[in-house]
Amino acid sequence: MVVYGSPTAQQFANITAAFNAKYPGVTVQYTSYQPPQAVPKINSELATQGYSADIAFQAATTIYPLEQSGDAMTYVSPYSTGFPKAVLDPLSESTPIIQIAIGWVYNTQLISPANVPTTMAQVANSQFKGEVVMSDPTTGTAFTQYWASLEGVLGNATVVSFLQALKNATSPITILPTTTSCATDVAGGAHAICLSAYMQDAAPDIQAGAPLKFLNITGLPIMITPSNSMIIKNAQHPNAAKLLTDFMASPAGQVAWGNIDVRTPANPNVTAKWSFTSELKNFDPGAGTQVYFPSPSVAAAASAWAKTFIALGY
Amino acid sequence: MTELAKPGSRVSIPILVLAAGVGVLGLFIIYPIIFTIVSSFWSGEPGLPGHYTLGNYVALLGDKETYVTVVNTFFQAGSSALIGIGLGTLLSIITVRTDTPFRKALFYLPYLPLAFPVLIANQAWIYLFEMRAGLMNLVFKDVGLSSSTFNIYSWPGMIFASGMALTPICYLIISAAMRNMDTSLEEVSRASGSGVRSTLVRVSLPLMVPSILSAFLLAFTLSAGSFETPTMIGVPAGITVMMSSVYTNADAISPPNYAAASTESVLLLAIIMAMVYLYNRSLRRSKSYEVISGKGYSSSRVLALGRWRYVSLAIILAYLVVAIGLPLFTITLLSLVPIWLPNALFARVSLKNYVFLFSNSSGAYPALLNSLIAAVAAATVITAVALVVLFVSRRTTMRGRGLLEGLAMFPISMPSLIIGFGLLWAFLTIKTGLYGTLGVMVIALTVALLPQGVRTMSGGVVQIQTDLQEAARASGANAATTIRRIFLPLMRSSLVAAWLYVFIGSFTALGAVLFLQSENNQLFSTLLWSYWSSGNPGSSESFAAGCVLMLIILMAAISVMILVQRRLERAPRGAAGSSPAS
Repeated sequence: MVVYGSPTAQQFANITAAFNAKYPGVTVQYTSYQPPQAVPKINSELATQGYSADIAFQAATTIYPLEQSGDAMTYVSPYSTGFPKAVLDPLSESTPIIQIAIGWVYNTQLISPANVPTTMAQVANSQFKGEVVMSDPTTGTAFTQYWASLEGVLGNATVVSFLQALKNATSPITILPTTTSCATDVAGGAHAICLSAYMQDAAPDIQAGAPLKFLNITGLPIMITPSNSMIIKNAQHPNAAKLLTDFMASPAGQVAWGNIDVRTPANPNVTAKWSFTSELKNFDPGAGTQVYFPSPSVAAAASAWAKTFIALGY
Repeated sequence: MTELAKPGSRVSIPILVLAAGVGVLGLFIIYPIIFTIVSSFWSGEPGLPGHYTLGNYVALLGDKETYVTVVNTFFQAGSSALIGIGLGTLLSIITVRTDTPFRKALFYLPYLPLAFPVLIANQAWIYLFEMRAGLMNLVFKDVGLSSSTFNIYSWPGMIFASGMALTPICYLIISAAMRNMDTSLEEVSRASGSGVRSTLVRVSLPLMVPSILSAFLLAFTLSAGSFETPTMIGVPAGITVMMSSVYTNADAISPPNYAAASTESVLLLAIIMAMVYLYNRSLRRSKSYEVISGKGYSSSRVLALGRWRYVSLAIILAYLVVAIGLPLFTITLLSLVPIWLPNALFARVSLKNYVFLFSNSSGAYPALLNSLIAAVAAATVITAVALVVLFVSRRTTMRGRGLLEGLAMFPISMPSLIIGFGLLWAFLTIKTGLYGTLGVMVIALTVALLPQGVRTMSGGVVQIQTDLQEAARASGANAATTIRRIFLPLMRSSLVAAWLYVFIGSFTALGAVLFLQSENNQLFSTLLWSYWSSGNPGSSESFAAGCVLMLIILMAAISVMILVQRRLERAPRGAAGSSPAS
């Protein structure tokens, strides 16, 4: 069975080991592919061979567009029925396995406690001119979908006026190629605020002693996106793919995922080294509303949203 | 030019095997090019529904930003190539043509930065010269030189990073050719009363024109076709060049826009082909640059600099500190800490990242082995093929010989990511049975790096006078014998340099192999990329530890090459060289 996933091969080796302990006869060949490579690889293999890997294990921001393109073989693990409804695939074609939160972070040495912004308007202030770094919102990927999803929660006027004000007040805004480099940049003191970082980027830095904290912004929800196991259409080993998906969604599989650093299981009821609730409590004590994204409509319109952000000057 | 292989003459089996190999290679070179050109006329993504259209070109050429991007590309690639050529030529003159102290020991050291893949070097430059948190800038501020801070996220920063990456390549080509230059011409100049500067400017440098032009073309092309610096430094600086646009369309946006990326790639291809054409035209009078003849040439004498020899020593030492010392220090330090905190760098130094890297779970061992095998195989194949290609195109009157070199040079005109995607389609549609194996990686690396092999060796071929091969033909030698007895001995430096350069390029190549990786053929470069791009805890520090390991391996390879080169220098020049030299 072949899996194309976004975690590193070393992380997935833990899952394969736990899976093979239960199902020793099933060979798992895992290759780490980030979304920009995974999607064209899968599409090209489907177009030429008629089949691709058996499983795509990617963030929902990548999985939902694949599903909308008809690349999935519908399968939802029965184990996921116990998961919170919000984490489930709205298209009912794949199974959520882990979940990732996104927040805004700042450097505690560059922003004094008295100046830590608590509202979006305070972030979009000239005191942070040249201090803001962000992942590119114009690519149609996770961060475009993040802002587009925020628009659905806060309203178009709030998000668009914030982005315009941010651009006007804090330019130049530095755009970095990866979310990791955004968090690392702020941790190292190059800039003061990162919009936005995955919790998996910032949490280890904070643990390692970086002067980094999540910003608690009034009214700004914590946005969460799951990573799903999607069986690819015409999979050569569909039964093995279902077996692995079921295992990853099962309590044993969820514990195996939760024991990998900053990989929080989709099932909140398992006890593991990392759980979403404890992670949020540790790193974002004031975390307010939690909103899962993207909606299928946002995922489908990601390119259009990207153009919107370009029009805003990003 | 002479025709070596006369009609009816016996063709050796090795030549036939090589010809068959070149044919297969040609197929895999042509496929991605055709694929990209066809994609540029297709309305949708490859393999998905669509129709043929000129719309992609209309959109590209109708956008004012395109012209800004093209100008930016010329400026960035041209400026960084000039820096590479300037520094490469200066370093070559110092180590080859002057009596600078320790010049023989110093000669090989400028090769060492070749061991820095652009991705790694850029990471180091960012940590050193980020405006506020860069180590060097912090040092400047601490010693009261705040006005000397240098912002890596700027035009000068981008050109500096590109130029530093190109300098060792330019040095490799120019110094190899300079070592083969007949110094008796300089002697005549000196005997006629010319000073050192006048001799360098009026004799030495003009004789180096083919190699310098060749190096410039290669440097310009590599710079224009590289995505690392434009994305890592250019994008944060708000600078868009063609490659950052291609990268964005092909690999950063969702869904990828291959139609746009392909169209931009074809435009880049046209620009670079025009450059190659101009280069070839400039070499039409290449006979005037043939400086290795059968009539007694010497490359042993150097120019005496007097007291300026210590200035030249200082120049080369300064270069080595900046090009090797600073990035090596930075990456090594990064590999020893859990997180990069400029104000507390040595607070938590440990070997934790190396413990992980050398553990079985890191995947480093099989990836390293795969990379070594693939790089050795690709470098060997490329060196052999490039020699034959250059011999046929430059030293025979065979019909279509120019096409052969053009074909070999094609892949350099295409961004590596685009070549990589085209190769994915090539291996998916041409059933070789190699998909998912290491063989695919070897072919992909060979296709992607063949131009570097050809361009690195071309200056060396041009320098060899035709009278030597005419003598060989008169003695009854066929093409294979001429290559073996004349070209191989006289081109030893160029061959070793080309092999090493391609080996390093193969070891560090990413774009061409990124789409072809699987669990069974993972290379060390793709493994490091997965560390860097995954955003997982500790991944950038594991990446740094892997980078240090890669640097050690590549520097060891360069050291081996140095030993080989020195042994070759001590050995007689072989059948062709020994006679005239003596």
